[in-house]
Amino acid sequence: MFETLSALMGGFAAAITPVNLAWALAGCFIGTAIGVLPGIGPALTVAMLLPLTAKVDPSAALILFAGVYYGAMFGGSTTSILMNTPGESATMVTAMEGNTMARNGRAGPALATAAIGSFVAGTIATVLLTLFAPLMANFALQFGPAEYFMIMALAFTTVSAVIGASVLKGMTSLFIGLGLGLIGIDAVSGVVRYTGGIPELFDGIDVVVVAVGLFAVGEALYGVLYRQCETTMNRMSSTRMNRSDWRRSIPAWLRGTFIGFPFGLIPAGGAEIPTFLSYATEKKLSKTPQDFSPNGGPGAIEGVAGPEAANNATVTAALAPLLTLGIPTSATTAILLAAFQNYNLQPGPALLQTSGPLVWTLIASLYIGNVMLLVLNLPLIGIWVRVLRIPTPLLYGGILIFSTLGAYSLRQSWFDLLLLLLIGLMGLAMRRFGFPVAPVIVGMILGPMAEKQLRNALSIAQGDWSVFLTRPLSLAILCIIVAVLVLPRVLARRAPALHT
Amino acid sequence: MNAGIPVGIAVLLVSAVFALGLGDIEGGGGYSGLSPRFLPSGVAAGLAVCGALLLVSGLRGRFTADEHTDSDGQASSLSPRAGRDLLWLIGGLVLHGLLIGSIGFIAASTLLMVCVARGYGSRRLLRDALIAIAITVPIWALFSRVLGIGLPLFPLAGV
Repeated sequence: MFETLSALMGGFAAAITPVNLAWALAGCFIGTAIGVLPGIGPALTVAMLLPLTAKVDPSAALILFAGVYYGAMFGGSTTSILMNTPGESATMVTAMEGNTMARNGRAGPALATAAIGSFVAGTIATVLLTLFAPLMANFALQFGPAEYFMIMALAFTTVSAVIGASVLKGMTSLFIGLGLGLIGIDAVSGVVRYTGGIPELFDGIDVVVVAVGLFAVGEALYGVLYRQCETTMNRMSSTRMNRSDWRRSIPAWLRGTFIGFPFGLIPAGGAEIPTFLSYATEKKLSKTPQDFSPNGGPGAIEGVAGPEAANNATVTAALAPLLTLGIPTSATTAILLAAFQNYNLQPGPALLQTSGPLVWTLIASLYIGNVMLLVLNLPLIGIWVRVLRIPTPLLYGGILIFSTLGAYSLRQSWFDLLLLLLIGLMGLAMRRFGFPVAPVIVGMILGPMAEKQLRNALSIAQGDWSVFLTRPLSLAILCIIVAVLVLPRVLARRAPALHT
Repeated sequence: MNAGIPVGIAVLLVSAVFALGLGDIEGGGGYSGLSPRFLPSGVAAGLAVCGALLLVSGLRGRFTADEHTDSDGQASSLSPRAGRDLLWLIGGLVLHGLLIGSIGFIAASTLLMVCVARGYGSRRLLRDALIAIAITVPIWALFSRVLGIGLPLFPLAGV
């Protein structure tokens, strides 16, 4: 323990030089600036800066990347809350709940809870990473396809959190999302499904196009049909969090952190599932579930605080398997792996021995990046919320410019723009007839992952379904699923008895 | 007519598309015993059930469209020029997609901004266009010069 601490202190000593602090600041700034653009997430940003590794020394580059990593995530949440354009699927829940808050004049508290929650989660996750990285990476190695499938199943059982008031409409949305996820080449068998022979569809439909199409374009098309003379967006209340906001946010941050952290250790597809599970948890535990946007409420701050914390905890924890085993569990860590390799450093069990100081500098710069991002962004909230005072025609014009930019920059194809319009029209129809849009994205992300893991698990077991019961971890997750399904009903049945 | 009837029929049609497409999916189950048709069949069946239930609720007059009422509690109502306004938006998006490959990102986005703002009732076309240019020029510079993502500037002139 003492060795760890002194090594970390050494890391801080290396990171807190004026030059390195300037790198961290530059990283946070570039990350935020690029992260606010839809369709461009942390992975792409870090990838674009990768050539820097040829010019600067390793510690400076890693410090810069840490700043970019956090900055890009925070920038993505900002546009999700203000403009309802989630730049990556992990901020979809933030877009749903945070934008509802912004519409009801509470953009400031939503941005603040996202910023502080990211800071809290990032800090706790970095501390956990410092203390337990090797231990947790070994735990993650015990996960096989059976366990992954069970985790997806757990995510599916909590889908009701985003489903809204009508179960029938929500399930319809979910099936449509599952159907959209089928389009393209099947990852397991290589068979082409539902492409109609269109080559652009062979890679599948990008989630960003669907998310931006349903949320932003659908919203813009709906807004022009059912225009309101005065929007509440302009009636801005305080930009700060009040006492009740704090009281509701703090437990949500902590829960989000502890939900998100384990997911970073395993390659379960990034931060989508933990943000989603955190949202479901907050909605379940809330004393005022009517505030949540699927229930038609004005937006609940827990619904932003929890998922944002979960998101940050996941991406921080993803560094543990990268550094200790050399296994990247997300797109961004895969690119960081490339950065390490450019310096002839091979992440893995031996990394701490061969280049310990560098690893500790990276971890110290994570702490610094976190603090810097908070300091940088809290004063900016007052400026960000002014975005909403832009006159409606210009605001929606700007939203559509950014939406089309997000879709077009994926692969510079007009086909994605056509797809964006078609999905936007679908979003318009869904809004018109009261169908929730979030389950579409959930189905689209989870469906292909769950199918792949199910088939991998059954392939390994030669088609024997009992594999899900005989592996202890898989069985444990199955028990959690049953508990999630059964416990609320049992409690609901007992609750009236207690009242009488 | 209750809105549930057309909505239910539309969902049934989508289900039919997924069911008919099943025939084009080849391949066996492999070691897992689950063929690539497993999940598609589930999607088709699920959508069929949902569509049928929506249709029934429509026929019984129980389908309500507006779960999301406005903040003032009233069900939203169509604005009088809704159809024409919507066409401005759709037209802007179609033009943008058609032209971005020839007139470039900045010009196409400016056109999009002008159309969208016009749909939302703006009469100040010049102001809208200037603001669009003020947004798109820095973005173009950032993407092309810093990030290395080539957004077309003006392909017709060869740049």
